Amino acid sequence: MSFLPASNKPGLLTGIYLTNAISGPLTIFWNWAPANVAGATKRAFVTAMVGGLFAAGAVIGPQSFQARDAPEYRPAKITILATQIAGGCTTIALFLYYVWQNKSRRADESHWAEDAFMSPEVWARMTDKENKRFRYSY
Amino acid sequence: MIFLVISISVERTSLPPKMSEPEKDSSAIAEEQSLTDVDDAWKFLDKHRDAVPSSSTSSSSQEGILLAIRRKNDWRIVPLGFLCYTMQFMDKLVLNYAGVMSMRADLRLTGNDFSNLVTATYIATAVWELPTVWLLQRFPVAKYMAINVILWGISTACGAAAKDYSTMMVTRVLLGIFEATINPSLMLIAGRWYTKPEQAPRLSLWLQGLGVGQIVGGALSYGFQFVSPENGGLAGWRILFITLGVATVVIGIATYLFLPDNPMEAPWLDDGEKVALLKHISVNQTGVENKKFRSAEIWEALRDPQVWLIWASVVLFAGTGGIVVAYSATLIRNLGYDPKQATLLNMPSGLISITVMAVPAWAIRRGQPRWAWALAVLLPAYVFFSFPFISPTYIFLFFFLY
Repeated sequence: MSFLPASNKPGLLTGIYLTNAISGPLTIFWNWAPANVAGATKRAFVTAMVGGLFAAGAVIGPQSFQARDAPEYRPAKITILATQIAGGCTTIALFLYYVWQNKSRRADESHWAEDAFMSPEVWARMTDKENKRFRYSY
Repeated sequence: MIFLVISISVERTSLPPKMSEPEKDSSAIAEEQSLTDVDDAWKFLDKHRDAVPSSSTSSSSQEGILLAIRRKNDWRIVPLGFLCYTMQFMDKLVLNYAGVMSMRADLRLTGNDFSNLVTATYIATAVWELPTVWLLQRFPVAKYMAINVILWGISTACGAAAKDYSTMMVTRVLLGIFEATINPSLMLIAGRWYTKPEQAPRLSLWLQGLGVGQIVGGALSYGFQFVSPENGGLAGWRILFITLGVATVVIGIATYLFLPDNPMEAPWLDDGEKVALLKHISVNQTGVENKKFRSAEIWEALRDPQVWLIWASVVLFAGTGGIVVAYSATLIRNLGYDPKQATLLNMPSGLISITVMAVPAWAIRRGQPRWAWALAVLLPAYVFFSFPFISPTYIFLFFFLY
């Protein structure tokens, strides 16, 4: 679609609109990260870095568009495809990591239910790694 | 490993006594024990053991009470977060809109000046995240965020007074610094009021500010392109900066006044409702409020594979997202449309963003897996960008990698 002739304006416009689908996975990571990181300092650290990487990505990404590649911007398109595929791979790796972590924790103790809410252990200052009853969501 | 074991045992021994000691009152416990290692939510629960929601009658179910609490929270928390996030994006984007107006000429921008201004905001944000880690932990998160919103609104408005490249640069760097807190703050705030599945649609709605910002910003800038200095005195782009800056300050003040830092401070909930809500979100096990900075957790995060995988994914996806945001208006203009048409034609981009954010959030709320939805929404982008390479070899490679 990004290869259509310049005269095909509706086609190219549709293509430009479709690329905005990229916001999808980012949104998922926005609620995935805070779901799986426990511990007040660890949460602040990980979420702040996520914010920083949002910004860093926004700076690095456009560097792939070089004026000398105009008007086709083929290297930029290859870069985008490569980063998307790499992002797909890290997503799968994260999923497998969580499955593996939860499996090794299952033997330990059961997951906290809401009935345990008054138990100080539920509110103790523990990270997801320290708290063996923590279960990752994926 | 040893360090982990030690830190766990320290945690366990320093825990406050269990609830089975009713003869001790909680203030006495607080005096003799260090309560810094337990969440503030527990201290609240401890003080309000017998509290029941005033709305609860014999006929009302626990689910019904929670639904009512959630609805109240939604009306008081979600709109403010959404407005802050929308302004965060519009105040960044205003530069792009000013760029297709007369700003480049008025500020005598040459060469890379314009793209440097865009980049500076993002770099300031990225760098300022480091001190933000500590600030977020030390200060009440909602109040800290609100003050930053007000300050970046002032920075945006000051952009209207820019005389040249360097004065504009100062306002954009300050904007980036004050905006650093918005992403982490909102993520932390969501975790204090909602369970994990409930967080997904709220966080997604906040991120919708990106799409909405694109649409509203486009419409505003379209309107201001008809303002010329002759009939008003100020150039259209300067009025745009002032308008957005003032709107941001107003939203920041509202956030400061109306967004509490945690459920314990919510004026719209009675003690019983607060207890019910804290009980409901206790399954998150991610805590509500604990202001003690624990550096051991930074080291743990740095050695945690999930953290690196999350960061890697975010930077990979944000990189491409940045391209789209930065280039969609330009690409449309390059198709041969004039600036006014280009701003209008870029508005459907916002609609696409809204769709791909809303659908997965809705699915996650219903318990569907995050990872599968992340891959599913990647597909359109894969298809679009792989089009130039369509040949049997590429298709094979594409599906092999996918």
